[in-house]
Amino acid sequence: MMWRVAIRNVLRHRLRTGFSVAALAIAVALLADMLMLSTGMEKTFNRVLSSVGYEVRVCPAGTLPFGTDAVIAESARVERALAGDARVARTLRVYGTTLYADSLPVVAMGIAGERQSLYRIIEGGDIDAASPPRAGRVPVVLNANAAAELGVAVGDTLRLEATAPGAALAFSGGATVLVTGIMDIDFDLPGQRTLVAPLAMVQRLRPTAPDAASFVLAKLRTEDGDDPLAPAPAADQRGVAAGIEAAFPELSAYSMDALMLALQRQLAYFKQFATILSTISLFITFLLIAVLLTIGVGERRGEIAALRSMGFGQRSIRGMVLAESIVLLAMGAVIGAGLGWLLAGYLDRILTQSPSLPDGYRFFIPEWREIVLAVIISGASGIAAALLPAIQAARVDIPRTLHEEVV
Amino acid sequence: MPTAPLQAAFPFLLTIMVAMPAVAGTGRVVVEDRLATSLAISAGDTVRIRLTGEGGAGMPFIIAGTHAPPPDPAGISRTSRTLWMPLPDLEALSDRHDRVSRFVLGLEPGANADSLVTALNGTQLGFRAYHADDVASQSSETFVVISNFHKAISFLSILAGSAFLAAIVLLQVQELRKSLGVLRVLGFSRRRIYLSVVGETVLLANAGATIGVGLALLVSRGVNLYYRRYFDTDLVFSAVTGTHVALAFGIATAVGLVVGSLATVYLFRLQVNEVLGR
Repeated sequence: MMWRVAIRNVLRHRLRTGFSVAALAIAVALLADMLMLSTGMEKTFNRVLSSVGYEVRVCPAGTLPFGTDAVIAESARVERALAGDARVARTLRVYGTTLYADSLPVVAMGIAGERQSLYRIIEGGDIDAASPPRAGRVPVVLNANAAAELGVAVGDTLRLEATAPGAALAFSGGATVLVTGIMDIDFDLPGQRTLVAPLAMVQRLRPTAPDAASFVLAKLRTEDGDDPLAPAPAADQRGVAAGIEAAFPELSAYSMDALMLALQRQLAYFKQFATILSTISLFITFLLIAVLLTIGVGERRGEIAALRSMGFGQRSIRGMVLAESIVLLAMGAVIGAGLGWLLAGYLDRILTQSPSLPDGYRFFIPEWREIVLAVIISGASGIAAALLPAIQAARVDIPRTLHEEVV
Repeated sequence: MPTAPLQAAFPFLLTIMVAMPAVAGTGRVVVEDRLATSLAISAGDTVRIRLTGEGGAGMPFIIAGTHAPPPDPAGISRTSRTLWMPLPDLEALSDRHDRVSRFVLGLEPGANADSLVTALNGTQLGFRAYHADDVASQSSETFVVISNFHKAISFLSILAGSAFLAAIVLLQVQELRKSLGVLRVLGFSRRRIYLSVVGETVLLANAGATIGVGLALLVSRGVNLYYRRYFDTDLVFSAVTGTHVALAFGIATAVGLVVGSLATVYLFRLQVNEVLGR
């Protein structure tokens, strides 16, 4: 009965209800999107870090992988130290720099290590597979961008130089390489040309420090030995990282959770922005329901007094007002859920236009979990806002109100 | 002995070691003020610097002074610190000679930077020249994107605020319909009633804008206090300018006009008898 009255009351003023529902829908949508924003970047980082398949990253002290041009000198000693730890299954040394393939700059990564999981071969073979190198040509793999822009395919050769073509006249020392495969790598920037080659060749072309590496990755042993990407227990990760930092004070070693923590600083702005906007969305929902119902109840005091005089109890009146808020919130939630889903895509497209973001990086990952959570939190806020007008409505002074309304 | 990683002028990570005895004839370096604070060093102190990852005692340098780099939004999350030293000293320290990361050119007054950039890039000597404006534009691209994101959120806030105001004004109009009906019976023109409702709505919207601007000023101050401390910088993260205030009141007035007009049209659709409740 009360539900029917509540629905009738809400639908009695369609224009007003339309605007109220529109405001509620935007508030719910914003809350859902801010929940997505607060978790989206972490999910992206987690996905990228997990997909690489290495749990421990060793970098020059105070830096993050790809954060600076700084290098680890004599990187083999780090590799040896890691190999000496029984928890470590395999390692990969990576040296990132810019080289010139024919006339184009490419992001070159020299790697050394076995059974790498840094990238996936999608055509041809890995640099390990090209043995022995044909005619002394060093094997390399390219990403699809590099292959397309350099106009090469598996089996073709390239000339790699440390400097641009003009400068190569002055500084000798390039290498002719053989493209053995095309790869897919998770953290490429849009349009980036990436090349992976043996570490020794990149070190020879770009000799910054003896046996230089930008960072060293370690994959730890897991109980599920069949899955190369299955993460090792966090305690093992932290133990290995602590051991490396103790042995090499000039290096920083990150377990997965430590790296996520280090990245938090870069995510702080968006997380706090999301928190502030979520709070504002909830406040708008609270205020809207409180104002609408307070004025609405005031407007219908005579009607409520009449209902009370007909025998409707305080509980029924309270229930009616609360039911009105639930009807409004439900309509707002349905529209807000759809709007939030669409807005997430739109806002994500705006933010992912930012330069220097890897392919596949997402700020908003639309998921029903966040939508449902937003609906629940907004609903709770709206119902809390409806409590005071509901109590006021139930406590209406029947004789006085009827007298005032009739006379 | 406290040590700290440093990002050198070209790609070397250096380790600085403090509290070493002074050595005559040593080179001089200028260190970033935050580094000086964190290592408790100041002008006149002697430090030893070596390449990170290399053993040995490193080379001694005297702190000639400290430098506070201008606030740079692009480097806000940078954790490494910087020091400056003469290029020959860095070459000696790193054993890498005749190598630089970039040249910065200062032009004579009136010189055409664009034609110089074109001429330099035409030499094909293995470098790329950029106009300072282009570098600034590229490095600020991220902030343009964030600004667009803020604009999208602002637009949504305006929509939500407008719908909120419309719902409240319609409620008010319905509550006041009896007195407005009496006014019509007494001969008040539609125009006068329209102006009264719209005026009230515009006033209400601007009252909201006033509170909003006040809140924005408070929040802006809080945001600057918090993030300046968080990132240890003097950057201005949030600024409420005259343009923003004018925009807030302009939008409030426009929304008030539209919503007030809509409410009046809704009111005028009711018949006089209906309005009087008979």
